[in-house]
Amino acid sequence: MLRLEFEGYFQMRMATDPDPTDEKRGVSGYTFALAGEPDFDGIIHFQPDEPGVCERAYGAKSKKDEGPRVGVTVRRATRDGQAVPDLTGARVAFLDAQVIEHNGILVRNDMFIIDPLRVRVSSSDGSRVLVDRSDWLNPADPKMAQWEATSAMLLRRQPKRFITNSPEVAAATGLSDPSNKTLIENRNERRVNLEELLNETEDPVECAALETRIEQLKIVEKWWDLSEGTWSERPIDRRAYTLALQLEGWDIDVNGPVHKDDLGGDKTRPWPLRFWFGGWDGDALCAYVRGSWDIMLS
Amino acid sequence: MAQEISSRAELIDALRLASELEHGLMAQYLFAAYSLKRYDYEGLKPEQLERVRRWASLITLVARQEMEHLGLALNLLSAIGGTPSFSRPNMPQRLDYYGEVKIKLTLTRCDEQTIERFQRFEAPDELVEPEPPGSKNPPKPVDQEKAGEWCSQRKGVGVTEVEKAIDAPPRSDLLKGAPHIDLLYGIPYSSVQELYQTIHLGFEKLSLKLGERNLFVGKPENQLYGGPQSPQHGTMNDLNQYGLDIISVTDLASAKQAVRMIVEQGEGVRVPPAYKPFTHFCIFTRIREEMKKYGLGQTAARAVVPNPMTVLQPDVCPEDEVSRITNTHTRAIAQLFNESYEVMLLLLLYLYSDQVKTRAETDALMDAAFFPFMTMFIRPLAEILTEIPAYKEKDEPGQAGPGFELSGDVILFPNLDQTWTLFQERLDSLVQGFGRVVSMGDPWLDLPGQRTDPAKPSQIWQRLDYLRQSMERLAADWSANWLNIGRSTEVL
Repeated sequence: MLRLEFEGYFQMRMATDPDPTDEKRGVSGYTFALAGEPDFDGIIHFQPDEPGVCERAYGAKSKKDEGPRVGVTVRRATRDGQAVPDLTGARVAFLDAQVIEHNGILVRNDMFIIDPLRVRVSSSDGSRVLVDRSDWLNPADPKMAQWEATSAMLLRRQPKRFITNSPEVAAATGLSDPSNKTLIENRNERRVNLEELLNETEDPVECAALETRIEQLKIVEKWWDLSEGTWSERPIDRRAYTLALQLEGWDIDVNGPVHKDDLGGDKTRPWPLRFWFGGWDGDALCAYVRGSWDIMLS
Repeated sequence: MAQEISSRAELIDALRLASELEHGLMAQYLFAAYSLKRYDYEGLKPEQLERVRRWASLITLVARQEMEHLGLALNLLSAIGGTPSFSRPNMPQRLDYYGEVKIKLTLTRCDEQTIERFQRFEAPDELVEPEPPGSKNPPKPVDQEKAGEWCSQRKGVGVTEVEKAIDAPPRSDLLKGAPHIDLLYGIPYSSVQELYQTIHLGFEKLSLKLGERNLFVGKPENQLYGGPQSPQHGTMNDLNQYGLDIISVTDLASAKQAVRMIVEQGEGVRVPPAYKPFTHFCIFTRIREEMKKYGLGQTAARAVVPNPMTVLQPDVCPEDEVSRITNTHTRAIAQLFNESYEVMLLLLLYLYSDQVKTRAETDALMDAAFFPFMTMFIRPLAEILTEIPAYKEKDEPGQAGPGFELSGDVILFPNLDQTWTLFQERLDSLVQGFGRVVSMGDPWLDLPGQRTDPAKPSQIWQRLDYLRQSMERLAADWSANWLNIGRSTEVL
């Protein structure tokens, strides 16, 4: 068995509740396609050069890298327990994948399905595909659309783990601990950095986008919720608490056709894929992924 | 002196009026928000679009909170044994429909005049210039300078001061109440704030007169609310999300709290400092100021016609304020919008009704009513309508919009089995309606921004087809097992 362990930040530019799933710019939720940015595509991008990626600035010139940067790579590879250093740094992608709920019509309560699911691993410079395999929602009918899938079929693509206040997510995304206080400090730091950036920005389009981001980052508490907490101590708002800490984990045995394989996989067997998404950052429109893919060898 | 509420029937009447008012305001706010421009092909610069999008976010927040107020009013009604109601007149209505309070019911695009009207709806009493009794003039806009000063005052106040403000008796110089058919007892009020003050005092007085236990005779399980105490806490259906805060009303203290929350949020009674910029009045004050400052008062919104209707509803007045939709495709979509809106109200009515419901049934109704209907059908259809022509003649300009038309009272069958059959029939009818609309063709390819890929249909057609798929899935799930919509697995 060849095990590829991968991780890194990915981007997912999509609308958030209560916007409709197909909202292209963002209105009622807290994610927006800002001035000068393309419409949302709703697609999971593991690599920074994928069409549709739109990475934002995080602060003044001196602090420009203080935020997520897209890039999911193999951090460790082992063949039957022995290290395979040549594969370290290989690029991982979920081609055209989306995290889907359809506002409760298909699934509910953040138990998102991932669809379509096609995993590709390429060389570290991206010039050569090493392995590429699809998963079928319904092996008996590979063309079946998600709209027609049964509950059991959707269940395979839904999370098996849902953890709030995850210390693993906090550590992976650079937070010292998974407390609300730390989250709020993190948001406030980002906001201060953006305010500095705004001061040194002249382009009116960039300024308009920054103003919206700063306005959103200012909302850290549920200001509207008068029946919870006290006036001086409000419950934390979803803009802040979803910045980190939540972890959703999927276990999917990839069962479909192998489009390319230079690693010697057994095409007749499923290849177990285990991963979590967490640390969703609504300002960066990024989150963190960590996982492994077990390629069963011939 | 003001007439006080002195019986349960009067209190029910006042709460039904409050529900109707909140419902009407919500529709007007949504109509305006959906009319705002969104895309780079609509003639605004990117930085202007960003500003306009922020306004849309704020107005939809206010509209959601009007839904919250409607929910609170229905909880108040249910708590004292009243029947929930989603009845309201179609729009437009004459200026004095609600008496001399002059709340104009009309659907207009989001321009400076519309925002002035909204700002006045939500204005605190002390910023409204009283008009002479009997005046036929439209109400004067709020003084923007004074409004700005009011909203910039960030001094925090305590709960006690808020209590005092709401507990204050209505003014003695009340104007004549609304000659409204539902308002049998002619509850006098000169503003929305004052109506709620009257209701607040009514609860206190009747609790003393009848005894608290005798006043609050409604079943607690009929209350819909959110937050940690709610059965729906932590799910999509938790009502205390997205700027909403709905509490359960079971006694005098919770009734007073519900009224206080409505007044605090909207009508501008004192609020905590962090809250003030988000009061409805201050939101509209800010938008009005920015519209003027950036010269967007007439250009931020699409050329949406006022009060677009599929038919001339018999209760509208004056008729010449109605815009009849004559474009065949547009009218079909507008009919679909109205039908979806009515089904959503039916689902809500059942939710608030006294019919026996298990927890699973309550959840299932919420699963269907809130996220799918509100977000996945009603809003997208409304947005589509503001992008497509209202009229069949090409030289007649103007886009349509959501008319929120009701063809009659929203009522349920008394029998439970018949009710489920009714829902299934209505969902099946919507499936057919969406099927018809997408099979009528794609006349929108030549509209701005619609042809993004030569091989694909227009953006509008694609969105309609997406809605069709969603409705088919919803109806099929309802038919197979209506208790399991979107719940292929439980939360682990």
